[in-house]
Amino acid sequence: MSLQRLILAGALALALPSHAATAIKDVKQVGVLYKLKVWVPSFDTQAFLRATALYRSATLAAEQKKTFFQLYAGLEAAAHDQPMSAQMFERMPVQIGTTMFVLLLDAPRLNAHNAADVIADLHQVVEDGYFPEAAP
Amino acid sequence: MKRGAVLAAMLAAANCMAGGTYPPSPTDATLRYAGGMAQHTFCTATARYTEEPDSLSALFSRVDRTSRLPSGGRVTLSSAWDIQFNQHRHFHCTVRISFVPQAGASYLTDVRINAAGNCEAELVREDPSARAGVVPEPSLGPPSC
Repeated sequence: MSLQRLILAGALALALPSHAATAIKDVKQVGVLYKLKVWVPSFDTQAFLRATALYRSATLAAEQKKTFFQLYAGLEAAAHDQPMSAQMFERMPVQIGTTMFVLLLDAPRLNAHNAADVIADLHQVVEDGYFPEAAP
Repeated sequence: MKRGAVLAAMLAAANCMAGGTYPPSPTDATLRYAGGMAQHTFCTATARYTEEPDSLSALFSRVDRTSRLPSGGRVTLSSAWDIQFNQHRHFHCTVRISFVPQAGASYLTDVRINAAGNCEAELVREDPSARAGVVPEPSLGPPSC
C-alpha cells in the first residue's frame, strides 16, 4: 500500500463513525456507464459517503473484470469527461443521498482509481466498520 | 371547406391542450431514461403529447425506459420522476428540459438531487466513440412550449 493510500485510508477511518457498515447502495447499467445510488444514515459523514461510493464502484469493477474506474457526478460531467474530485464529494448532500456515474476502465488514466487498491484500503472500513485506532 | 378548416384547427388545439399519443416516425430520435422516471409529456411548436406510463418500467426501475421524439424542431420535455433512497428519503421531481433532437440520434436523460435538495435535469447525447459513451448536447435551451 502506497503512503498516499495509507494516509487516505487512515483519514477516512478516523472520520468514520462505528455504525459505518449500515450504508446502502444501488447500481444500474446505463449504456457504458453505471448509475450508482448511494445513501448513508443522516448522521454519517461525507467521508463515509465517499468511502461507500468508491468501495461500491471498486467491487463493481472487480465483478465486471475491470481494473480501473472513474466516478462522474452526473451525465453532464461524464459528457465533458470531468471525473469527481475529493472536493466534489465534500459538497454532496449526506442528509439526502446521491447518485453518480461509474465508468469502468481496462487501463489507468488521470484521476482513475485502481479497483484492487480501493477494495484493499476500504473493505474493513465500509463492510465491517473497522477502525485502526480501536484495534488492540 | 371553411367548416372543415375550423374543425381541423379545433382538433389540433384540443390535441395540443390534452396531449395525444405521439405517432412514431422513421426520422425519430430516441430518448432513454437513466432510471426512476414515472411519466412524461412533451411538446413541440405545434402539438403536445402524453406518453402512457409503462407499468413494467414503473415497477422495475432497472428496466431502461425509452421514448421516441420527433426530430428537427425544438422539443420541450416535462417529466415526473420518483427518486427513492430509502423509505425516509423519497423525492418526487417534476422537471422540464428542452432541446432539438436529431434524426436517428439517441439521448440519455436523468434527474439528480442537488445539495439544496432540488431536482436537476440532465440530458446528453449518446456517442459510442466518446470515452464515457456520451457527449454534451449543444441544443439545450429554455422551454419553448
